Amino acid sequence: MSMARLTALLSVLVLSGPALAQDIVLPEPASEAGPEAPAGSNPPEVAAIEVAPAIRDGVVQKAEQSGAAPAPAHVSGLAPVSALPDQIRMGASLPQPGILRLTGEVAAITLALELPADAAPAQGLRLDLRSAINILPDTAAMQVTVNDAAPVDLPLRNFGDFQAVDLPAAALKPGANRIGIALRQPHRVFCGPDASFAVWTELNLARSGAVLTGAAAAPSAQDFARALQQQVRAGLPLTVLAPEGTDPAVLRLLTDALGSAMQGQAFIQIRTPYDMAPRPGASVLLVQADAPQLDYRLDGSGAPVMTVAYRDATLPDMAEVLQALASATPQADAELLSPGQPVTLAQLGQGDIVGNTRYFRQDIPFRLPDDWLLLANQKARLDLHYGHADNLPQGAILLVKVNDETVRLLPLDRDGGKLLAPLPVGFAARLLHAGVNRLSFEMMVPGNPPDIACPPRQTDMLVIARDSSLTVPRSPAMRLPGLAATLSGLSAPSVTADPQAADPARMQLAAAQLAASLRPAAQPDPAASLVVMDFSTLPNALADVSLRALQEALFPAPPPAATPAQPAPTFRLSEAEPAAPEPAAQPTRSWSPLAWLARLGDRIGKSAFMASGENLSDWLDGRRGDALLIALDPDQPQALGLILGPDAQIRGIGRALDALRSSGQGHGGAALLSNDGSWQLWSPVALPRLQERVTAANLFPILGNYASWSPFLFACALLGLGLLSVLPALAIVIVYRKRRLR
Amino acid sequence: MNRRTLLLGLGAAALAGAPPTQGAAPPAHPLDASWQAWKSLCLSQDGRVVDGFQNAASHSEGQGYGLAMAAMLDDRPAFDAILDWTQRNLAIRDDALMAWRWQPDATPQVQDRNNASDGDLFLAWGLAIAATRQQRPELTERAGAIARDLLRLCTAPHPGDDGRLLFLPAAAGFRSDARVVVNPSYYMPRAMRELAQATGTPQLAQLADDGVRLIDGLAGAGLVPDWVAFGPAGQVPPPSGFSQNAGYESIRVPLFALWSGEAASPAVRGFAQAAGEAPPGGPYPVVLVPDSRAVIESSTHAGYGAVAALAACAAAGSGPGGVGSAMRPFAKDQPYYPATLHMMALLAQVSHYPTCVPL
Repeated sequence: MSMARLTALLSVLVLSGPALAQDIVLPEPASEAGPEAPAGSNPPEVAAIEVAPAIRDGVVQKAEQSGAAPAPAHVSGLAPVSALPDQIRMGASLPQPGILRLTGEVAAITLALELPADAAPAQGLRLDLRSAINILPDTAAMQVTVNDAAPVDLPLRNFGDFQAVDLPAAALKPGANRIGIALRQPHRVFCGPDASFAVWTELNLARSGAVLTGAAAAPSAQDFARALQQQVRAGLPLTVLAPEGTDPAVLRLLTDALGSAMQGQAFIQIRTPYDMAPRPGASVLLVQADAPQLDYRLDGSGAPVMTVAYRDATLPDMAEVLQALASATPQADAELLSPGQPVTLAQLGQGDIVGNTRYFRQDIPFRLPDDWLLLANQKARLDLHYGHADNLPQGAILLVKVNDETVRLLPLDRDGGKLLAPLPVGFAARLLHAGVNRLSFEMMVPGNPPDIACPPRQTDMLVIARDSSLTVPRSPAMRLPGLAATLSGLSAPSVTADPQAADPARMQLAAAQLAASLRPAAQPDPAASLVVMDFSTLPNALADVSLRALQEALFPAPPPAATPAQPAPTFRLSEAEPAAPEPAAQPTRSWSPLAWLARLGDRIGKSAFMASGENLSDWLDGRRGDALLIALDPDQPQALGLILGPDAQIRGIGRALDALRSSGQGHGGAALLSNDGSWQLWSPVALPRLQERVTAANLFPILGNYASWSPFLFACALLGLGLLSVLPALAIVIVYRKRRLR
Repeated sequence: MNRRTLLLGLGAAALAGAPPTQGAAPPAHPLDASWQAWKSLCLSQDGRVVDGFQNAASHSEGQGYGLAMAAMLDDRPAFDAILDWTQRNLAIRDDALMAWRWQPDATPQVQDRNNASDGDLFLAWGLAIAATRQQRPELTERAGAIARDLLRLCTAPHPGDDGRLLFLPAAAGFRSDARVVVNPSYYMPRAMRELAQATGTPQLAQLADDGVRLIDGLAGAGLVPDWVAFGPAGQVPPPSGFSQNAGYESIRVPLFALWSGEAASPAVRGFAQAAGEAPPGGPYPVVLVPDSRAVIESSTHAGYGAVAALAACAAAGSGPGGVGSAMRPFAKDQPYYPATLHMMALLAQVSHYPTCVPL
């Protein structure tokens, strides 16, 4: 405080009497200062002298201290090599952005660490870790392998908050590095599938990596792209900083360019530069300036920032960084499976599957062509080449699943110790669909006994060989009508905001974020469009929807009305537990002929078509969600609308939209996004569309598809044909009978 | 989308938290969240700006800073609370100026009735701003009274330059026949000029111009020191015990120059060159040797870095480094003084340097 000194000086000046007008007399040192004014006295004109310097700061570093202190260090960050699920799974997952969780008694993952070409040698490798308290610390360990160096063992002891562990990392080199992590983390008490989920270790990816010292140089386009890709793979969003007043059209240009370069794999969050929330790493700043300008800087935390200055809706040339981003973006699409021939797991990009946790699951995604459709009872086949350990306890099982439907249960408590002969597993092809499908292997091995820690194992529990093959029958080129076709052809520039929205800025923001997280279409359809809207405008398709149904579907559920509770008795006369209240009486079922006929008619009506069987308004009744995807006009099925509820979270909607798009399951005329991220589909009655000529080869599958789509109509058609075929016979009989009668 | 429908009102009304589509609600200030954070750090419920590192004391400087910022950010409740507390506890002098310090644990809590002219200046500036923005003309009268007493009691002729006025740090002391001691960071040119215009005291504008010339002259020889003195022969060393370093006091010189829109000021350029190259995340140079620019003390508090980063960005102009400044958004992990510098740097940026937003 300057006034401390000021007062000190003033005191002396005033007290110095005649000297006052001559010169400034400095105060004495603090220890020799005059006494404080007595308590309770009137404030003196001049108070006690203070000469101690004002305390302005509590974390001051003197030059001699800072000279000896090491240069500030920063950590490079780590990233998974491939995309990980954002829900907790056995093995590796990203339950929170930037937090890698490795679940199960054993787990392994390879992480990428990119260092600039001109980076100084790293001081070490830092891992910011924490583990579940259930881990048995005596035997739990992490084995870390840096590139080809000898592995380093690390005990797992951080059971509370994240703590940094530093390792030597002489093997780190500029450019791409691989960090292998293998965990052994047995449960300290229990053994079994449940215990597998209770043991985990988490790694904060943003606060782990190579420890680099020295003043960070200004980043280049490559440095920025490298850092951005690393954080995107770690599940962290890209922050675009845009001050208020930024031209929305320019902002959209920028987010589209970034999203396209990263092929929709990054979620872009748009924030004001004054937002105090921490940023996850690399970011982009967009501001209006006198001239378009592109630069790369470090922000206040040392993370790279791409600064983009625009003028008159013109962005600077960003070709270099966009190219760097595109080249660093891994392809994440599932492999395309060609129907009609066996395709091995290896051809789907999957190696040998080895399971060593009491609960184990491995998903193998694959894609079928967009026009693949089989609804009848054709069979697909998995030739499963597998083996398991010979000492697995009784009750150990392996489930084979297709799109989460179990198609085979295999016991693993017999015939173990060797790879078995390939086992044909047939399943209904109608479990598959166009787009991304999932073949899953799920193993459960009970503890023996379950209430003590698992004994160490010397052998692997389960192996599924990569030469196991999947054969999917061919299908005629057919599609179920609905949103899926439009979604598959949708491209980022076609995602727009409704200009008539009540809150157009929110819609513009949402449209920009959704467009940036849209993966590029394999076959873009210029006519496909998606308008992001709110309740201020409603499309024709919702003309017949009751307002109440729409409100209840997308608005937050009101809190349940409080019902006055019956006061509990303050006495007890019996040792028996008080009887539970009687459940509400169920409506009695009427057995009158009319009611029976009505129920029958209802059942026939519902099973008549592969459709929702009710109009959209009735279908919406009682359902709740965050957003409603709908064709804006029945006559223009390629124009979609996405109506956002007031609580809609754009990141979740973007993910769900991408999942719906890649799954190819967007059949029907509307899709309601539930609060849990799943879609509820409403399908009006609409015939499957045949997209090729009918031939002798595809006749029966086509008929099968139509028959399965509507057994009622197919039966009616056959009945009609049967009746028609009877007519000639009747005619012949009548003609010949007439002749005989003559 | 032919059905621009009856749901318009329904939907808009039901969108919880959605801003009204029509109406007079002013747009939110971009620093509203930062201001709320500053208040949670430094402002008590009763309007006292608390300096934790000085035994939770309050002073007219903090009250003035808080009042001016509350006026700029249209925070009427905070403005009224600060003004009320200041009037009740510091307005105890016979003139319109404030006693400079209030200590919660002392008896009496005001031990020294002298004023601090920078605190009074900011108080008057805050009143003048609020008088316009809140349409409260009576505040102009109070601002005018302070301005007139500042001119009457806290100015002195330059001993070596006829016609130039110096801004004294306080009403009492700091001058003798031989020399006048000045704290350059007490000059806030924008505040002086706007206050002069609002209160009809053109001498304050002249004082600002003289101050700018004085600071430009000091910056020509290196960084502006915390304290300087002037005698009949010109600049003389301040008495011993007064910091001659460029430190916690003089860091406000480039800040106030920036806030006054004077990015080309030699003080700004010099400070940007000396402290603008601090490593991201700090520590940030705070106390430097004026001529050699050697760093004596540094701090990890973001507020100091914010001043340096804004100076570097503003000094760069439209050249490289002129888009985005390496200052952090407002940080809550800092005490009163760097937090206030941080808030002021952000206000200066919003006012004059739209391309220097925090990176």
